[in-house]
Amino acid sequence: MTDDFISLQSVRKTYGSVVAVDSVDLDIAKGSFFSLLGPSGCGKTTLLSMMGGLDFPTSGKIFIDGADVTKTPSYRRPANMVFQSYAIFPHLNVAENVGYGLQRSGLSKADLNRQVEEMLDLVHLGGYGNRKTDQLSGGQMQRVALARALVVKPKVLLLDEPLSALDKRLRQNMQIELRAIQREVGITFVFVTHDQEEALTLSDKIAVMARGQVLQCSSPATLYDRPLSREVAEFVGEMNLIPGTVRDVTTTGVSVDMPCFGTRRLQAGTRRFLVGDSVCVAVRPENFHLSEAPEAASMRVTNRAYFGSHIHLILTTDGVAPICADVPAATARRLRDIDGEGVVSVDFDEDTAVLLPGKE
Amino acid sequence: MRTVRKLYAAVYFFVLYLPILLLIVFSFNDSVYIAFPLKSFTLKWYEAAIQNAQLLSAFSNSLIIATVTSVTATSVGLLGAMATTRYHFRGKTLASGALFAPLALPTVVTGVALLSIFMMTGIGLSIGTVILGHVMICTPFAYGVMVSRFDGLSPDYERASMDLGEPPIRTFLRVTLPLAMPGVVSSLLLTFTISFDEFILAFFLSSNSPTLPVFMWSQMRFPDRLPLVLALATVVIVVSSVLIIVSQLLRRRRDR
Repeated sequence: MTDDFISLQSVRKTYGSVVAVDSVDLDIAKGSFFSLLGPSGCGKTTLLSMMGGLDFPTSGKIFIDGADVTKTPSYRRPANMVFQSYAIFPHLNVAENVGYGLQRSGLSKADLNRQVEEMLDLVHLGGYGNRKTDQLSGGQMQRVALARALVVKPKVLLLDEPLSALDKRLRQNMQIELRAIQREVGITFVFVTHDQEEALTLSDKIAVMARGQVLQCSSPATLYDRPLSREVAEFVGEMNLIPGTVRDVTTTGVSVDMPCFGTRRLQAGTRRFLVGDSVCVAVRPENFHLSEAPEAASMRVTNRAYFGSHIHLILTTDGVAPICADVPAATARRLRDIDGEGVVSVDFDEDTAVLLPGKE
Repeated sequence: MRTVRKLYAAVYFFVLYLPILLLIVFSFNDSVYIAFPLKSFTLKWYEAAIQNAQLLSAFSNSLIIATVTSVTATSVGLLGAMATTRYHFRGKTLASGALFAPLALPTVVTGVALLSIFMMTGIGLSIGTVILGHVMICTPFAYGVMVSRFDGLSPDYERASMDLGEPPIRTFLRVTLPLAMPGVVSSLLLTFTISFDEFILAFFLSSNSPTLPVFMWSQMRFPDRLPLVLALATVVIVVSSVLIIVSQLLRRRRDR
């Protein structure tokens, strides 16, 4: 047992022959905003349900605050869920919904009402107590669901894609608000999403999932800058994967022969590479720049789009898949003079490049 | 074409409702014979009905049987519907089919089977045996109504309630039952009506505590009591229609 707040140990869940979650180990720190990120069907919602006790693992163990809750049903778990469908009780009004979980707490009616009011204020729905739930907008339903789960003071709040049904503008506002509420109440949030931007914006830590497994669990910056696999690199943000071959390995780095950028010295990270290995050099579009240096690559511009702060280029050259590069608009004035299929000389920043295995 | 369609519809409804209409008309006719021309208007058959002790006893039997049947069948249907819409288990399709199956069984066959068992085991016939028979034929209807209600209800409501700390039984009382209520009411009305109108099983199983339909049938042996039966039938038609209409209105309000 570590001193982490929520701990999953070799958690596995199968439905018949289908493996929904496959041997997941995960540690979530107290008071953090933790995200499970992955495409639909990757097992993230199943994993969340198991943390909430709405589903039980086939094997493995789940601990919350030091207690083994693997077999504890949801009504005895200090974890509460905000459902993707919100599941606001249609036969109760807003205040009755929020106060639902307090009924059994033995609070006096006045105390109960006060707590409900406080919670409604927290989610900016003060004065909405007597409203019927069918008069609420999507964003308001969302807030009621949040208040209803938070009012019982859980140790963990589980959120199942709570923002996916909202339009983009509202979603962005709710993201900011959600983060503010999390800081205010100090409860550990576990957030499920398929939206990588949302996960990067909100989280202290992100676990990227695919096929029931956790591919990488790290801070948003590490996830973005130092992906551990091609799959993570491609799922989080835009990434160019340029093939290469290892020429030389030393204690300070790895020399890689690349088709159009010559031989480059790169950091190997925690992986080990051998001479002759085929590798992938992963470079974010924003880490390219126009360069006159001799090792820079000459490439054809096949498409470009102006974004104000930067220009988005699609570059091609023989033997390499098209590369996306975002070059700062200020340093690329002369690009404007290039009509159609011009040729530019680009280079990338070696410190930001990530060396990954060629095939996985 | 348009006229033909209209004519067809008119004939259809005329043929369908004429006998019932005649029945109602003759129940107010001052003559023991069912024949035109009509004599004067009278309520004496209704008065005779109210004063007939056997009839009143049959009516009260029917009320008791229909009430107990509708509550029992609806409870069983509700639990069955919860099982097959809320849980996954081996043999679920079979269970669902078995709940509907009695619908396909001819009532005469069910009646003979039940009668044999009650005679064989020495249980004897009473209101209770009629109730058992009626529960058997009403449960598929109750189950059908409840399944359609539960299919439209997200299981997330119950999950949310449990998640908020309410154990299964409290969740059932605070969330499942209130949300299923329109279905419960509609099922109660439907099964009450079916039981109240049912003849074959009641005829087999009621012995010396006849239900209203069985009593009516027994009166047919006496030609001069025909108008009394007509008056009674009119009452039954009105009560049944009201129950069915209320049940349909509730169903429509629920679907909105």
